[in-house]
Formats: sequence, C-alpha cells, structure tokens
Amino acid sequence: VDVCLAKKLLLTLWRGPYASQYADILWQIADKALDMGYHVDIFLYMDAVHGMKTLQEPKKFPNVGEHLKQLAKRGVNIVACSRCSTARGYVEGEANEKGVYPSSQCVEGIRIMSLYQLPELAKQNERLITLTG
Amino acid sequence: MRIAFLLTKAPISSRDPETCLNFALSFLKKNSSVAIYLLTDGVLCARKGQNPEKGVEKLLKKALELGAEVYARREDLLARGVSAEKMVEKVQNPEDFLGTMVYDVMEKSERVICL
Repeated sequence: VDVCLAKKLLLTLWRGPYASQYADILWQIADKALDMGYHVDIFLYMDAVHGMKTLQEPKKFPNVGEHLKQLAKRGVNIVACSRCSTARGYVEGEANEKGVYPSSQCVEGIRIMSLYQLPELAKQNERLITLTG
Repeated sequence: MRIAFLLTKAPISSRDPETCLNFALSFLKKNSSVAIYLLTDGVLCARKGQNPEKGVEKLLKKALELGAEVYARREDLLARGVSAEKMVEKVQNPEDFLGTMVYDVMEKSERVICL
C-alpha cells in the first residue's frame, strides 16, 4: 500500500516499559498495522518516555527500546513529549529549528518534541488508540 | 454507527469494565453496532462464574444478547489460565486477534473508545 494513500493510525502510550503489558501491546499493534499496510504514528507521554531509553537490557521481557527502534526503521513516526522527557532527565539542551530537543539517551528514530505535536498528529490520523493504563 | 471498544482492565480492581459495558449497552439500545475487544487484563472480563454475578459478567452477557461482538485475545487468555470452558459463551478468540481489531478500528468502526 502506498504510504501516501494508506490510512493513518495514531497510538498513544502513557505507561512505562516493564511495569505493565501496555508498552508491549503498543508495539504489537503497531507491527500488525504496518503489516496490514497502514501508516502508524506513536506519541509517548508521561512514563512512556522511558521506553525510548538506550541500553535497555530486560532479562525476561521483550526489549521495548529495541522494538521502538525497529518500528522507526519501518517508517513509524515516534514522538516523545518534551515536558515529560525533561522531567525525567532525557532532554540535554534547547530545541532546534524543527522543534526537536537533543538527547544522547534516546534510541535512534525517536524525536523529543512539544506536547502540541499530539493534537497535530491527532488531526492527521484517521483513528486514535490510547493506551493509558 | 459502529463503535469499537478496547478494554484492557480487569474487573473488580477497576470500574472501567463496567463503564465500558454500560457505554456499550447504551449504544446497542440505540441500534448501534458494537464490537468489544478484550486484551491484556481485559480478557478476565470474559471469565464466567464471577462473583458478584450481577457485575461485569452480567453486563457482558447482556451486551452479547443485544448483538455485540466480543473478542478476547487468545495469548492473553492462555497467559492467565482462562481456557475455553471457563469463558462466557459466544465470546470469540480469533487466531489473528490484533489483525481483526486493527481492521475493525481502521475500516469498520466510526469511533474507538479505549478503557
């Protein structure tokens, strides 16, 4: 399916990785939607921003950071809330001209941006699934 | 109108399942088409023999009677030890639950409510 013509699904996640099943169900839904030809956007909010951290090494659970990285490689637009990321120590400077905040602790393909990106994404997507926990 | 509900909460410890099912019943009584997707802890709502019986199980059975389609994710049922004989009748557990759910959300339902 042509990405330009594909319907868009926005997934928002509020819960952090490993404390619950929500982060896992997020990437599983995203993977399935991609397999079916849909475009997927993801917005990480509140503790969900911990999912983007580099160097995650869970012993028994799927690696959420690695799954998010793979989703980004498949074309998923993943945005993490800048206010939530700042509060949790991920942001290391001011935003660039595109509104992206710098972080050396963020897996490849995820952008830290303003919360105002969320309503913009909601406007661009046909459907929204919220995994708030 | 068709509404899809995505329910991820277990009964009793959360009131969200009752809220979800009461919403669903309201839509069904207005002749809307309703699909309820139970995943993660939400699959426990499909377990029969719940006490109090007047709670989630009764609401779920009423929704089924009124024509709701109810799907429970097989992997989550197995992880929680809920076998087919322990489930409320007419609850479906399709092999490709996520595919069924994503297709419904994107192509069939006009609204999606997540609880």
